Amino acid sequence: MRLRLPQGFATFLITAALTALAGLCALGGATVLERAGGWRTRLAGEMTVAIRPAPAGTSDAEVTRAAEILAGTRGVAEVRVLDRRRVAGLLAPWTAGARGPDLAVLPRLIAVDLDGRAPAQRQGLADALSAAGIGAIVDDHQGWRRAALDLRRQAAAPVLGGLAACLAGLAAAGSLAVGREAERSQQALRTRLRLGESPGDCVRSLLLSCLPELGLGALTGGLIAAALGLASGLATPGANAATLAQPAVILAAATALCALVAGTLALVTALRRTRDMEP
Amino acid sequence: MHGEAGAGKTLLMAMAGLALRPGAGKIQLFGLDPWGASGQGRARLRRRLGLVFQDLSLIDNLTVAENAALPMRIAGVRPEVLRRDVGELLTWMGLAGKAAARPGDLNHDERQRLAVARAVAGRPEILLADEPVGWMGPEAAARVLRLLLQLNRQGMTLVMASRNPDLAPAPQKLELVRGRPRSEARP
Repeated sequence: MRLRLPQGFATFLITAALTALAGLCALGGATVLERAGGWRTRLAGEMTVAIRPAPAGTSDAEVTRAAEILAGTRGVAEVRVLDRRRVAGLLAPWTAGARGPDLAVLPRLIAVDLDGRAPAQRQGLADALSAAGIGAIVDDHQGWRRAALDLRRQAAAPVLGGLAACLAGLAAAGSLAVGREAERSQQALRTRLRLGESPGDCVRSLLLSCLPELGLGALTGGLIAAALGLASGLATPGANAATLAQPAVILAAATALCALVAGTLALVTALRRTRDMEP
Repeated sequence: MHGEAGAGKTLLMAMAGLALRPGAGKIQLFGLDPWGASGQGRARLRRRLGLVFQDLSLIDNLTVAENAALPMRIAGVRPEVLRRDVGELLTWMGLAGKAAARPGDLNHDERQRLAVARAVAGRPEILLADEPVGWMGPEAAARVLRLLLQLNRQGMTLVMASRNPDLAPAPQKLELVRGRPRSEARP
């Protein structure tokens, strides 16, 4: 037995699915861009100093001296010496999980938070340590910042592409829905135009027969995206009403954009089909 | 307007009724150029016309009463006036008992009467009727012609096209031969 969907149900389903996808795309894209931006900002606000390990191991006194020199350098807000265990954790991917005596040969790391108003330069910190006879490498996180920037660029293309594909699909759905309705009621519309109905009224009646399913589809898609977004947002540690406000605005804007695109193409098609039908 | 089949009566009526756009030449309606006007302007001109098409052009998914009421609905007539006038009109046309039927349920005679009812429902200034009684029985045809002539006496301009030159008394007659008035037709 063949399943026959009610008139307009397919339009509703397609609109809902594409709006949900567009909403999730916008939401995911905004999250990636925001996280990458935040990561980059944080990386730009700090440097990491690695004290070269001496053959007999680096003494705590030398590390403390280096930290004091760094703290006294202009443009440094705060200095934090990372203990050996923390360093071992950070370097675990490169040290294959070294334990016990092996930890002594690892470099000691000092995290330097820069003064946001006049941050110290990498060379300035390196010079200060060198002048005190401390062998150290100062990492200003350029590589990581570049990676964060690349992530933003790389994430933007698929997000925009996905969003554009969804909007193109919605435009097609709006156009096809009106086209199908115009085809179905062609005889009635032609007669009404011949009897003096204004083209504007014909366009209105064509739109009224399609806009409910398009609008309802967009609304349903928006709600589906909101439900999925909310579920993943609430699962994120530290989520609260304030952090969920921005995604809600993005989702509402994406849903409105979807409805606008589908509605605009429906209007354009209705105008064109009515013009074609008028003698 | 009369002439043999293929003389161009239907074509001329369709162009006069703004259902067809002429490829050449000019049409003036109420002193205006309809094809130089906007779509809205043309719609206003069409509302001043009543049309009986040879193909009847009834809307299948509307009832008989809704079909007859269409010009009044388009003109924005109040629903209570519309119901009353359509009721009277359908009674006059002998279709009162079929008000709720669909055009597909009517025979051709009844469908033609419905087309005439719809054409006069909007109280047009000019009625263009292409073979308005062609498929009707003699009794129904006489009744419909009586109505049309009565409306003509009340001020409505009546243009009828038929193969029968003696269909109705007319102050002006035009005979078409191969698309031209007989006086201009080449022998």
